[in-house]
Amino acid sequence: MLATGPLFRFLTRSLRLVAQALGVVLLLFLVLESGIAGDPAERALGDRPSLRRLGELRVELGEYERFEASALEVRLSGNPGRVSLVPEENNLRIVGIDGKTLAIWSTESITLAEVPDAWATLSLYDNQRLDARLLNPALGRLPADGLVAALRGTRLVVDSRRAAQAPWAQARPSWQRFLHQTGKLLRFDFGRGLDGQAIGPALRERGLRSLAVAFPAWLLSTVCALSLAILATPRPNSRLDRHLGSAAAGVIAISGVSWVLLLRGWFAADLAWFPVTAWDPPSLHALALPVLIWAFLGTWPDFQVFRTALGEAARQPHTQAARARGLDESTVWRRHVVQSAAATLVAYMVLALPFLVMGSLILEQVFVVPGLGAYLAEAARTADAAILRAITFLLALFYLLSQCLGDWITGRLDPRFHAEELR
Amino acid sequence: MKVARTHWARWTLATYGACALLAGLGWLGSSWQKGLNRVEHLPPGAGAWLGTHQLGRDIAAMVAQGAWTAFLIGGLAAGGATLVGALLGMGSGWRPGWLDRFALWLSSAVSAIPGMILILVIAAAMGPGLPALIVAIAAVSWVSVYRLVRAETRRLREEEFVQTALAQGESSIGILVRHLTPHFVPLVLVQFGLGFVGAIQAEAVLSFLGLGAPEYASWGRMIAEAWTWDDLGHGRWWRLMAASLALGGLAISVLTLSRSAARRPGRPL
Repeated sequence: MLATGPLFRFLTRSLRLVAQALGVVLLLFLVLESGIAGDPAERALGDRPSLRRLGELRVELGEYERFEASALEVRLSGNPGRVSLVPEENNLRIVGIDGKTLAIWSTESITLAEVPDAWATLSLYDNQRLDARLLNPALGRLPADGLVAALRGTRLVVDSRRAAQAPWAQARPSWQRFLHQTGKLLRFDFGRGLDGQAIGPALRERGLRSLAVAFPAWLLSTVCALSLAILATPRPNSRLDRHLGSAAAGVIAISGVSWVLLLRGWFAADLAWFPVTAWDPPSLHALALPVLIWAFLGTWPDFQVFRTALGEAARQPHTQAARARGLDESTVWRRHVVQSAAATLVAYMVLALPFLVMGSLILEQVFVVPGLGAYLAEAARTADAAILRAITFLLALFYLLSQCLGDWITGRLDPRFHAEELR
Repeated sequence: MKVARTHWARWTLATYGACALLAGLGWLGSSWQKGLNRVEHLPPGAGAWLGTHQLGRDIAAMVAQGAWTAFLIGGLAAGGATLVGALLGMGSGWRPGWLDRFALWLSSAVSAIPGMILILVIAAAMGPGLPALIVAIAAVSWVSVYRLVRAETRRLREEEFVQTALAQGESSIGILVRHLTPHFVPLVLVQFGLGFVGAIQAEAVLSFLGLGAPEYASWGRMIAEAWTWDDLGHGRWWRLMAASLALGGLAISVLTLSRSAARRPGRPL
């Protein structure tokens, strides 16, 4: 039957995966580009950026379809002393003789609809004029042309003969930007960072460096955690079990940042057992301390999970029945406990795989490893949306795929998983 | 309280009390820069209990101020996440429909991104500052509460006492508030504890990466400054140790207290 067959399961899982991936893309769009969390261009350029750079960056980020730094020239003439025109960063402000603002025209994305509203607030005289002309004839076919036509020769109360050059931009609608970004992400086209460097090659290069530290650390921490769990589980509530549990709770409670700094200070500075060298060229000696620290920090959360999984398996009725049949403890453990817990343990280990490529945010900062973790941290500091988006999307994709892989392995190792899923 | 009967629990309660007291002192002290006239890099001793830092500020005063910041960040982020997760979970689990499908999809999208990475991205998009920190942490932490409360609501919805209340004509909100909420309290308390600890640890990481709240003295910022000023390289261990132990102590005590409160006699489940 299709509703219970492997094809149905595969289709359901694939659809779920696509929905989750699209959800991730939408989340990233909302956070990084929609403006909900602040203007990404202004954040990237810091305080009071130049209008030209801001507009250019918005084109790069896909917010603007086109941007002309000096698109319009607005020239004022007429009876002095009535109203003044003040060109600002993003506006043309018309100020009355009493200092009150009579109208503000946004010069970033002027549309014709805004112009009559601005006029309605002004007192008009016969002898005043406001002339506008396009500086870039190429804009003639775009809405700016309409604006010029609307402004040219109109009567406004103005006091000076100042000319203001106004920028003009054509904003891209949000839904178009979302589709554009989604298409680029799905094609793995990550574009360039704020520093102008291509992101794709940087991700590959840095991912491998992170892997060089993360993979041995993961291997070591998994072996240690599994060994400790196998030692502690057969003796529940023993002194060893309690001490290991307390050690795990203590290590996890203190921040990982503190551990990294303390262990580095102790082993590298005080004891001088390990050198503190730059990454280039990386040596086994230089990698040893970050690997050992990572393994130490990774061991304890893994130990808690493995201890729980093995403890659960040891309490299963079939394990108790095996003991009651008189099987020796090592056979019970090998054939019943470990086999029963294998599905959970392997699925948990598979879920850690994406993080190996990701590296560590803290360790890579402290040991100056130019990996993905350091890349992400730097991108977060400079608010480089393109890099943040690329790394997060890839990591989420790896994570979702590893979840599928974990489920598949669990299903192979433990047939009860499918029965549970179908229920 | 049952929690205080064992040695470990008494220690936990005392640690929590000390942190709360420190937080109170940190809040009361209008300016944590009062100790600026002290000698710089003074080791712990009679002059300054926990020593001083590079500008002569009292580390003990900074720890007190950091405790206040930890309670502020942990309380608001975990509280917000717990409230949103619990309300959404109850609504979603009680009446399956578009809200349930949307919330489930949103939670699966959020949980597809590793928590710390998403916190970092949101904090980077919003810029450094306390509101950004709290919003970023809460925006990630609500998912676990939501999933647990949703599953629990769906389970309890089929129970006899809920069906009886429905048959007696009680409104959905009445049933949720009067009959189901007491069952969620243990779950929510444990999740609040986990969220609180996650929040103060995330603050430490974000401060270290330069995305913390620069206007607040926090334990995370103290740890970051210990790194910036190479405290350990110069044998000055006191700032890092004070902040790390305070953070670890509060984390363990909050987790133990939340679990003990959840196991309190008389609670359903």
